Amino acid sequence: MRKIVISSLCALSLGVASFNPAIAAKLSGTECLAPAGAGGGWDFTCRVPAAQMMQKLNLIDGSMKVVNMSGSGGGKAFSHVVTTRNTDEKLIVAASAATATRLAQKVYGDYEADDVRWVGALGMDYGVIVVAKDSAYKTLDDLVNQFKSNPRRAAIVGGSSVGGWDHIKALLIAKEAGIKNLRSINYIPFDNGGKAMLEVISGRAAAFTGDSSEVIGQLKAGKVRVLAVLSDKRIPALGDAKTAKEQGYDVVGGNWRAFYAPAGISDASYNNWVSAVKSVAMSPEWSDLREKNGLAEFTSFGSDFDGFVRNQIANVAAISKELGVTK
Amino acid sequence: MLLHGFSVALSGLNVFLVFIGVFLGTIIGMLPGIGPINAIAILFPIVLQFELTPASALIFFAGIFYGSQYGNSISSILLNVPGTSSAAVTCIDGNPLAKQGRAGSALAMSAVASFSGGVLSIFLLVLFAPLLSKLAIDFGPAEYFVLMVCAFTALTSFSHGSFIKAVFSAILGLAIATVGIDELSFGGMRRFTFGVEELGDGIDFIVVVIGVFAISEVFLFLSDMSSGAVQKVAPLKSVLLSLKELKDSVAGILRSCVTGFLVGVLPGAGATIASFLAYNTEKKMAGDKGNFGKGDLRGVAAPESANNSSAVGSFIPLLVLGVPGSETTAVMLAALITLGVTPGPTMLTDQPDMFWGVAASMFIGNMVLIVLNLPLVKLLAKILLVPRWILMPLIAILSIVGVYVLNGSEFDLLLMLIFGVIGFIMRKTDFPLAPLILGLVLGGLIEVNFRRALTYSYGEFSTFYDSPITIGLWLITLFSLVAPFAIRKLKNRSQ
Amino acid sequence: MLILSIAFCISALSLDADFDPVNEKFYPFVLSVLLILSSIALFIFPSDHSTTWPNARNLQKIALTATAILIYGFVLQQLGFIISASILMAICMWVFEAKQKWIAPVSIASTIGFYVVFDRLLGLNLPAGLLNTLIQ
Repeated sequence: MRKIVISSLCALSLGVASFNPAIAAKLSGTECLAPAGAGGGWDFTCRVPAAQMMQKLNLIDGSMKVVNMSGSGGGKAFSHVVTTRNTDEKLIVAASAATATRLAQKVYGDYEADDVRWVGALGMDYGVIVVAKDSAYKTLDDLVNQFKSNPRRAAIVGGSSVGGWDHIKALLIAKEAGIKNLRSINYIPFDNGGKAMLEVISGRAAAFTGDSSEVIGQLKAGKVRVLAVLSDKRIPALGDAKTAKEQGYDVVGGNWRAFYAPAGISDASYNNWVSAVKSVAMSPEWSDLREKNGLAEFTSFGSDFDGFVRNQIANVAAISKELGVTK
Repeated sequence: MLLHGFSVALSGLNVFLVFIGVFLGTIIGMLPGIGPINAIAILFPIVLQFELTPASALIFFAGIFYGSQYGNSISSILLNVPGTSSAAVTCIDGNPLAKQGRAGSALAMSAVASFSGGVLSIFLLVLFAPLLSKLAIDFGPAEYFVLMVCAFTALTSFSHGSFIKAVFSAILGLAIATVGIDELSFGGMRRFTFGVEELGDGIDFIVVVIGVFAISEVFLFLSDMSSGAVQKVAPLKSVLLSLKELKDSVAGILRSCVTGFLVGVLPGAGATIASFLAYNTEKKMAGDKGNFGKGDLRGVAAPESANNSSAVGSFIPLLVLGVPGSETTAVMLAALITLGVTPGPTMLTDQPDMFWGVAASMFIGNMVLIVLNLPLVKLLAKILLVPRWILMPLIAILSIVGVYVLNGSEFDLLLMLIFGVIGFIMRKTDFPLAPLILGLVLGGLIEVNFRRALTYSYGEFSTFYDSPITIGLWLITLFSLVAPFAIRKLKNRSQ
Repeated sequence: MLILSIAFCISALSLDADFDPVNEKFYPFVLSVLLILSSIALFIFPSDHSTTWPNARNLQKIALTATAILIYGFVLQQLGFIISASILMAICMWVFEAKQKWIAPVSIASTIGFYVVFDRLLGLNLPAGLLNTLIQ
């Protein structure tokens, strides 16, 4: 009797709405691998949409273990999955645009997109180009013209390393504008987007390239202006900021949040993960959390998502070659 | 405002959270390899489970943060095993004190200095936060570079005997820091990795610290062991600090607190530079009268006060600008984002409870810290009475566990062993270890900021001396190099 | 030491890059020059510190401990933490001349203690290895 009382209390406290034994395929002892240390985007992807939401929505049996494995910008986790966990049905791994960028630039050695199975994406942090509130650059054209005439005096800063995703986003615009010598663009990397933003606010750097979630706070405080959002439609959280498309630069790009699974798992397990990620992505709880974290709506699952990733890898590989990041 | 903060911080739940945070932080801080960052990550699910408000969560994290910093000083003093770079400075005088049987006094001094540094800096935080956040914005790559150069003047304080050995040791540290993938070059140039995949991320700082301090300690003990002899342990002396000792350190604690706080405010500079600068200042102030390097309580007080006040200072960029100033505050910010806080300067207006609640809770936390730890000092000092044949193997095991859990990598164990041997040879041949740590910590920062500054200026070196801040820092650098000689000259003349 | 510094300098120069202060090559080069200068300085001004190196017996002990840690690293995944760390602890205790009767109980108990604290309480994974089925 006492046991029953305790277990029903547990169920209540975990917010499980109803007792539903019917779902047979639910996995127990699941694990989400975050390819970086605590506190980053991958860690968030594992802890919130995977561990927290999947348990809350009763998509898995029991709790999900979150394991952090940092190293080589996610390369360590990638090779760990391919070499030693290839048939682990209970494992998913957090991924993002950075994963695709590094696969495209061969940062993970000879590993390719084929070596894992792409499960699905459930949010997108669209790219932005930001300047200080009193900057002389009023439109994206102003900045691009500066790049064309005298790139020396217009340093651009971001939170990723040289050749990283933030850098690439800025270069995609430059390329669209017809700038031939992409290496002339003066990009300076900082440890994170927040610190890079201080460089813009202080006036040392001309512009910031990063993700929209990084700028919302500074935008609300009136410290910065968004020159362009790299999305198809305007984003409500960024006020009346124009898209790059509206200004004649057809560049869309963002940092999506997604998962991959080992390549050797069965189709049944794979489909199980796809539907679990889908259920989270479609839930009102997630859309609330997603908004709070500055992520825009973006969903893509299963084979669609697989195609999306391959397409992005091809694009990044092309521009990286042009830039000389990869040979 | 602060009163409002106290009303937030004194709510039953928050007091409980501070208490638990400080307590767990202290314990976790004592274990090598796991610092506040891991502690926060480990305890984060609790925050989610109980659906804490962002203010409560931050109060909890802050408790873990300074609890673990104090915990770190415990293992530095007793076992010569620093878990963080700033605690490496505490080892310099703390461990010799422990070996002289004065572990109790050293621990008590560390508690008192941490407390005073912490509490005083909270007043600085409340008074100057908005003003200082401007300093954080004005500090660009060029200013950081000059600050690092300034920190290197501390080298003169860490040589016992040969200054050249200290310089060599520091440059070795700088060289170790260049290993790994270079983030600033196209395609990520791999430097000095010798084809070893694991070296791509560079050499983890904690691996080196545990190697050169803890493992070499084990080797050192073995090398001096004479077979069959009873392994002597220095008898424990009084735990208490004499009034004179306290009086002697007051001024140092105050100076170190201000230094620590100012350096802490700068994003990225952090507790290590603060501890080194504070120790350097105090040693210079003491002149020939000090016993620095061989067991001086002031040498424990200075870095402990500085690193606690820099911990408080590092909350300014986080709370006022919404930009994390250190890795630890970066993890805190990430956790707050998960709880629905938008990072940025609007955090203060969106979450008014947060700033004042955290300020007040730091005050309470420091109280808890001293109340919790002073009575424990006596007990902790007894660890040294554990026979060597069990304590030394335990240090070895603790080290390998700490290093392994860091990245889950066996390769790090190998590196630790290599640095253990290097540390052993250095200690045998009287090369100081502290400059190695200083070089290692500053290595990455000094190069990256040097190159960032030159990228901004397109190769113009004038960027390093054309702002008021850089000029001021050069003057401080010059002063700290010249002052000791000048003072000595003047003294000689007057005699 | 001088040889080491020169080796560092050569490998710094062999980095594949243009020579430019903003570049990834300049800084290691400056460091290597400084290293060479300071090692030359050390030769010119030798310090009067006299080093007492360990005797052969103690040197053997150090070598044994270091080898044990090295082997530990290789067998950790297969044997698991509890078994390999117990053996390492036992070797260390033996090296430190612990009383025979204490070695087994203390090394096993302390290792299990570490496992519980790190793996179970703190959630930091230590390999379970051979005992996998037993302790899961």
